[in-house]
Amino acid sequence: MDDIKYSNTHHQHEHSRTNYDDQLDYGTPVSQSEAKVTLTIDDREITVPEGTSIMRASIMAGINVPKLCATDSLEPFGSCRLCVVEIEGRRGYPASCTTPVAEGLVVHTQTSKLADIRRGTMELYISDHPLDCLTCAANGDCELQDMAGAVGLREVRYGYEGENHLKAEKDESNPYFTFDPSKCIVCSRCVRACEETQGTYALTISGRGFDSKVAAGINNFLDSECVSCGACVQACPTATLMEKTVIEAGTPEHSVTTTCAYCGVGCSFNAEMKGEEVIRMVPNKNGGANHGHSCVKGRFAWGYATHKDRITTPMIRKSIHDEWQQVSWDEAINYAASEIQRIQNKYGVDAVGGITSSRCTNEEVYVVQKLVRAVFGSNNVDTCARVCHSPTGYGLKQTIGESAGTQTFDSVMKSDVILIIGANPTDAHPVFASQMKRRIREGAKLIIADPRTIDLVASPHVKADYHLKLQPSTNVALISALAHVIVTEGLVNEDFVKERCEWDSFEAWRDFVALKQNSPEVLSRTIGVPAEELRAAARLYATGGNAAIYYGLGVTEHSQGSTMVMGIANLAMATGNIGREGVGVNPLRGQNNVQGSCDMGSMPHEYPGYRHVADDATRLLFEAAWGKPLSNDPGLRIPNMLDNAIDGSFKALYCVGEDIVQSDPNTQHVTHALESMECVIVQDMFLNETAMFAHVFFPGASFLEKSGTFTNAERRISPVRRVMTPKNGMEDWEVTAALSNALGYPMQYKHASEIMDEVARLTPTFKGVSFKKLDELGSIQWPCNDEQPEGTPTMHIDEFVRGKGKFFITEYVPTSEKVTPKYPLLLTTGRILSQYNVGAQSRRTQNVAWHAEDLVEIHPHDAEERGIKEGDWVGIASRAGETVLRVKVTERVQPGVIYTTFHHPESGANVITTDNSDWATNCPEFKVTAVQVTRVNQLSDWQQHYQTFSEAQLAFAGRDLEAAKIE
Amino acid sequence: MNSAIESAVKSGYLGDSVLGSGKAFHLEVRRAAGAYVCGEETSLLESLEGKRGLVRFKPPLPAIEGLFGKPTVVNNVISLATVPIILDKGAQYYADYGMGRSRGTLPVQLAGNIKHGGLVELAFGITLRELLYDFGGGSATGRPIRAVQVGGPLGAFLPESQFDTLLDYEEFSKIWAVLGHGGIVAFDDTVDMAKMARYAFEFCAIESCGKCTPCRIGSVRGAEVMDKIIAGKDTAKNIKLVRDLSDTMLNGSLCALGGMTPYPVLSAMNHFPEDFESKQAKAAA
Repeated sequence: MDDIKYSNTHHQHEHSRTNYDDQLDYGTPVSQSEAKVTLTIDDREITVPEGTSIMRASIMAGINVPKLCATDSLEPFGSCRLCVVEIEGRRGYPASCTTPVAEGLVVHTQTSKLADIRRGTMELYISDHPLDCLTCAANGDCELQDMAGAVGLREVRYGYEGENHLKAEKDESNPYFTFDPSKCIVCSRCVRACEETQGTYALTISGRGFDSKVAAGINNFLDSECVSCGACVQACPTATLMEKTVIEAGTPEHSVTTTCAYCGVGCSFNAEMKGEEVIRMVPNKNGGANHGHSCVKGRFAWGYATHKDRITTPMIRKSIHDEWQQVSWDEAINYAASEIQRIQNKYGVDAVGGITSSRCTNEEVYVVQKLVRAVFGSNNVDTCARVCHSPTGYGLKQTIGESAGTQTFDSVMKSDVILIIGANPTDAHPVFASQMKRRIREGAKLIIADPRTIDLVASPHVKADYHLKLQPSTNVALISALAHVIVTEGLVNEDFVKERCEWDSFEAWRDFVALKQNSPEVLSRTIGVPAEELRAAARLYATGGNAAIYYGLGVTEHSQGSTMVMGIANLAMATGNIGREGVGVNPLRGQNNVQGSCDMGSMPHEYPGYRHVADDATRLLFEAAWGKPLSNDPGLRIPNMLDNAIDGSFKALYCVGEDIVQSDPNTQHVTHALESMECVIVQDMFLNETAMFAHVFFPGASFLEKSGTFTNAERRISPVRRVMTPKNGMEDWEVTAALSNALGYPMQYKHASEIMDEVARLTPTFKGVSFKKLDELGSIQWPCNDEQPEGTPTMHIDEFVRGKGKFFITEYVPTSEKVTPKYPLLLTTGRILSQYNVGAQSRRTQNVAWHAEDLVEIHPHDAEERGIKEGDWVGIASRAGETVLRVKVTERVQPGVIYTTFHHPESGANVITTDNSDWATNCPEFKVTAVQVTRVNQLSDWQQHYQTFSEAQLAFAGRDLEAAKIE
Repeated sequence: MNSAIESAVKSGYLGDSVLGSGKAFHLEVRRAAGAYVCGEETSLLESLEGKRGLVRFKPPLPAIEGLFGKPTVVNNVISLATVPIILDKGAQYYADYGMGRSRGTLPVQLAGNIKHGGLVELAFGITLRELLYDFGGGSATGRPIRAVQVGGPLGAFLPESQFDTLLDYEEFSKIWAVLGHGGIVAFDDTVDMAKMARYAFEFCAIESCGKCTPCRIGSVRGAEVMDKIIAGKDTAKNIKLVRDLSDTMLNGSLCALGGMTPYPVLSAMNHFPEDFESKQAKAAA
């Protein structure tokens, strides 16, 4: 639309972007000291926090000291020797990066002696550096070049025939960046970034003296431990580590700050552009969630936005066995509208519903739920949080009063004990994992409850103090056992409980968990962890200082997912670990906008801001605003929609950005339901698995092509800015608005910002949010209102949102999904770093270099028993279905447990998962499926059918089979 | 050393309670990978932590933040070996030896082209000449001693005119030389001081940890430029370049390895300019 015009008007606010827009490199990190020191640098008096380096103080005073090895994301190193200064009364020429300020110092940064030293050092650098500046990929973006200019280097008297590294071979193994050691100045910024920023320790300097060179593992970057987070590329001051896109296309000409569309960390990036082409995505150092760090997905895996598989023309068809007809937007929208009306006339209002995705912007989700409630006339709207974090929403609302994490990510830097339950941050939330690892290296204790040995259990300079390697499905037994120890060993923070919580509920909970049946000794066998370890972990959590719980889908995707969430909140309340920095209950949200899509009222029982549809005041508010009567009955959840479809009462679905065929459990049940519908409308960038069952296809836009906001796991609302014209012609909210208009209900937004304005008008927790304020502040953590006009990093500080915290009794009820002689193993599913969710985006990038197929992990003992070797094909059968995957034999899983990922559709991981689900929210029990594994030599029936079916469907759309076939 | 420690522990002189005093004292020998730079105290700490022997910047001083981030006192062997005599005879007894601020004794290592090489422990204050001729007996070849390098491979070369310098830290400082650990290497009049200057760079290049630029690249370039001087190429220009490089290394290096390499180089150039300037004429001839 008129985004250009919009951004022009908003650029007027740019002058007010102060702190958040400051991209200056201060050379060394900020000092947190409260004490102040005053000194004089080049005749300027400046007052800075104690512990600040002279370099940082100089740059703060506007004096640019030359530097190469220093950058403010890393601790000072003092190797390049360009930043030397003179200090009156002190001997020699100390490096300003490593010398802290002191009261009354008189520092000179520019003297003729300093100029000689700097020029002499630079002459040495350049004597071992290629003189190809004009054809170098870093030309104009090279700190070495800048410094050579700054120190006035005019000749290199050593000549170039001496010993050098100019012929050192390039390492181009990484798909996204090149390592050219001939350009390396051995500043170690890459090595230090790998250690300090990312915490992987994949890089080192090999050799010594003149032979010192950066080395990644034994062979090359791709073979090494490198996770391709890009921190080294970001830190490199020269062209040594350089994005291949920059090598190919040249340096970008403008930059737009936006928010990553991958996981729930919500990293802020600068999309560096050439016209309408993205050249690179560079992590924003002022990003509230990522502070300049990134992972392989956000940093590099954005090529899907221009992938050839994208469908950019609307399509319709009568039957899923017909070929698709390409049509105009008008025709597609009018056809969809007429089908919805026809079906509602014939089958009733409830025969139609909508599904939103956690990958949509807040604004998109808001208009979809508005369409469903105000136009479809029901509350039949649900979102993919149904299958991931719906128990979080429920459990936290019940106990503490708000369906969201309590902390800001930075809070972890004040934690003394970190308890991770059912989350694998290094794979699923990599940028936050790096921050967490930094805190652990600083000495925080670590407890991990996970059936698998995830990387954090033992990785370089990080080792869990306790790994509670529990049996899948025994979370609630675990939390009860931990609570039992805390209650019976007198570790409850009674003052906190008395002041902040409902005492009656506490007493009931206390008496319950104190029962012998909840003791570690009784539950140890069930959980599969020795009682002493459970006791020790509970003591550490309760007495180790600030204790924070981080959890993921290993908590929620269970038959007792909601119970476990409440159990976690109980534990935090009982020990007083909530309501300040360093503590809290922190759900790690899977997708970029899980939090936001839930906030926006995409669940069938709640309006935006988690207000129940049966609440008359809220309903009247929305009726008045929308001018339509609204239903006070909760609508259908996704599983209900599917069941009703099979029953014949649910006939049309508007599915935006979500791929339920691949991501929801029991695939065959899902596809059966879709086949039973008369009109399935899919809005997506690609012809995804669900679209193969669709009758109308609305092409979607990528996050680079639209305006809006995402809300991350710490309630941080961040702007998504349009950096290129949508290839499909419309932003996604415009498509929904057009459908609404065609259905006779006008939605007249001119820009996504107007949708957020409407949200803010109608939702107390969003009252102070606007695009203008986001431009000014960079991001905002809700609640944002008159009391907290700049947002709320830490929640529940003085009191819980619900007033008093409420304890719930969490009785362990074993799942009905049990191992039997027929299905003797438990399958649990999860994610991998390089791929994202159903893989629609990440599979269409070079991330397949790391994860080309889903593998099934099996313990050597179970493998041997079945005669299975590494790389064998095995059939995995459950009571729901069967699929075939290749085996990885590993002790990461425990005997009796197997594990796989679901990033590739042909893997059919969800063909095996069952329709067991959480008692409160219907969140599927993805983490527990009883299975048998056997060696096979052909694909499963489902997979063979899938291949035929998907080939035919792609042909209907005039496409080749895009998915990698299983050989 | 290990067996000495073992017998000391057995006799109760080392251990958790030294001679039943309740005071713990442990000695442990750690073997490093053999890098010269690991004699530098901060590299030594890195090496002890199991890391690459890389120099740390100071401050913080090791006494504030040393091994594994804890306050650490780093002493060399001479200091530790001196403890018994001080404890035995008292501080005053020890202080009565020496001169000026250099008190006590120094075990001097006489080496190189010297008739009687070996260790001589002496009170500070003797002259270099006494050492070379009275103890060392002059050169092994019988030719005049032309230069001595004092203080190890990074020490300055002293010409005959400085042989009356007293063995004293301050006296050596005054003539831009270092006493260091008391190593003395003698050369007779056949020595080519340009080659000695080149060797100083080469030594630095071999032993450099590679962290700071002046030392990492400067040492290699220094040897290369010295090769040009030795070959008689553009002598005046290259001598100027070596002097500039020495200035960069002296003032810019992170630790004493790169920072002191200019001592042998510049002292050789300053005291024996003929060895540097004559090459061009020889090359031309």
